[in-house]
Amino acid sequence: MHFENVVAHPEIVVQATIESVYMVLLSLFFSVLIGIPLGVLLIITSPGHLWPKRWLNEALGAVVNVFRSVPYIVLILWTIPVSRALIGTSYGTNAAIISLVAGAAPFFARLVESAMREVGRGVIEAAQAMGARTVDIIWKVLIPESLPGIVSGITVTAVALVSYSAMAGLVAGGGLGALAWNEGYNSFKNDILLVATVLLIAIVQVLQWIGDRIVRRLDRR
Amino acid sequence: MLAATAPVEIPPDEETIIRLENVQKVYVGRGAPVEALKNINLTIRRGEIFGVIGESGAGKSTLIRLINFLERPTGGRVWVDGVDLATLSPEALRKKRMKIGMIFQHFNLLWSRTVFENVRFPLELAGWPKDRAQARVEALLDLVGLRHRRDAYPAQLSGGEKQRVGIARALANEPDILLSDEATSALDPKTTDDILDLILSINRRFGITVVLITHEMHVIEKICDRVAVLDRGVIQEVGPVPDVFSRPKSAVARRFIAEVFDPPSDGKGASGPAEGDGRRTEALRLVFVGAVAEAPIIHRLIRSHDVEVNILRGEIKRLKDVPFGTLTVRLTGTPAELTAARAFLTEAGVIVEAVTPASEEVTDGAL
Repeated sequence: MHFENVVAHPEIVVQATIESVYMVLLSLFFSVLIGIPLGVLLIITSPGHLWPKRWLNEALGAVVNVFRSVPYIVLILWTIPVSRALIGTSYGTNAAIISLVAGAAPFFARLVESAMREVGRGVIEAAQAMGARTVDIIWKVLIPESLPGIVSGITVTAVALVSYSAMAGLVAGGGLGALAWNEGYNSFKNDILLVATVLLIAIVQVLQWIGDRIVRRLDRR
Repeated sequence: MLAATAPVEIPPDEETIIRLENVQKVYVGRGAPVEALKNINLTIRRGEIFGVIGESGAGKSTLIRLINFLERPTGGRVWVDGVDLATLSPEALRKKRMKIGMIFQHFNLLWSRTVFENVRFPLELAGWPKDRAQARVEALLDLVGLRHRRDAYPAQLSGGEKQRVGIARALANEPDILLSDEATSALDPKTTDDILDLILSINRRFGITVVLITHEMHVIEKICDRVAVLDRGVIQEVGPVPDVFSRPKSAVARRFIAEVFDPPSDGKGASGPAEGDGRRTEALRLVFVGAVAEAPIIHRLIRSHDVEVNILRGEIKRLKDVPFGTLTVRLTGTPAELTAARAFLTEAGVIVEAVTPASEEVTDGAL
């Protein structure tokens, strides 16, 4: 195969790569920002935990499950009006980020919840015996003790976001997914399709590598 | 000499640091409510090491958690230092807990923190300034002999070292009370003794009251001043350790004591008539507590009475600071001499129990 189309217009490949990375990182940032508090709430309101609140726990769980059970491609359609309301358009990478966060934040919250469930009852009890407040326990026990789990959750979410962002780009425009579809497959330029695919794989590999390294450094168990 | 069995109404005073008054704990879950503790009355004195022994499920963990209100009683009152814990605001309870250190069977250290940072944790919670906290942690690490491990993570420590970190952490806020929740149950015998020695030396050096729960009589005999025997949520007996050891009143207490001592005898060749000449043989279990354990009492018995003494088994050990011995003997003599011999022993301060045949039960023998 010759890479004549890629060689002729390398800038569109670079541009799409930047857009993909931008979508993944920004939506990852917001997913973490929403997912950690949501995960903390899910765990501490569960029965027998720090702040058992049955109704709140069930309500949050239900909302999270709704978002997680809607297939992402359908979720994109449902977030179109939200994008219009929030940023005035349903087109472009920023619009894509809204649907990406809607899909990834609840997913990540569940990962946070399960990482925090690994923090032993005994450690929490020991902190309570020392006179820790609930907020102390969240900041000084739950989060630091589950940090490796949270970071590997962030990695898993980032990898999922790469694949979601390719889909989001198709609908909203932008990124390597759109490039592969529009400029590659539909334009019969197989070299662009191939390069876009390889770049998506490369992004995933890099994210996974960074995540694994951080987890290894954090994990003192 | 005997332990007070029912420590019901002891007025609060300077000597008392913890007092449980008619405490009851009922767990309500699915199914029938479970009464974990029934009408508990206990008074713990300032500066003593108080042990609670019981089998698993006896209610020990619930009992010890009442003292820092990790568990709230469903009935009765818990007084710590003259304060009814139920009357404290959440903030006041938090402050109070800082003065009650606690150590655990599984240590409960934060694995993401180094030894140093684990010990500093309670100081962070109490809002100590960094430099003062640093100096305090250094002193605590010296106290428990872990200065050289300060930057290690818990995963790199042995069980004994982990418990030392636990102890340093529990002492950080200079507590008046140390609660020990089966602190040596996950350790091997040698390490157990090291940790018990450390707890004892801390108790002596700083006058910290220690309340510990355990299922091992060894822990009680080694460091406790007084012991309560808990069974199915009820305190069966409570008293100074030597008293409970020498005259256990409940079957549970006897069972625990048998773990660390000779069983009273299998009763074989116990009491009965001896060869036809009107003499009798009598099996006795003699318990020596304190100075009596070190006096040549058997020697004196033989010199002053016409009885044969056949020693079946014997053991002497220390209950904390008190020498404590048991001796199972077979005496042979005329009924009159035997009676005189028993009187002599009782007079000398020996606790005399008859060994009944074919059973391990020992009846109270001050006949």
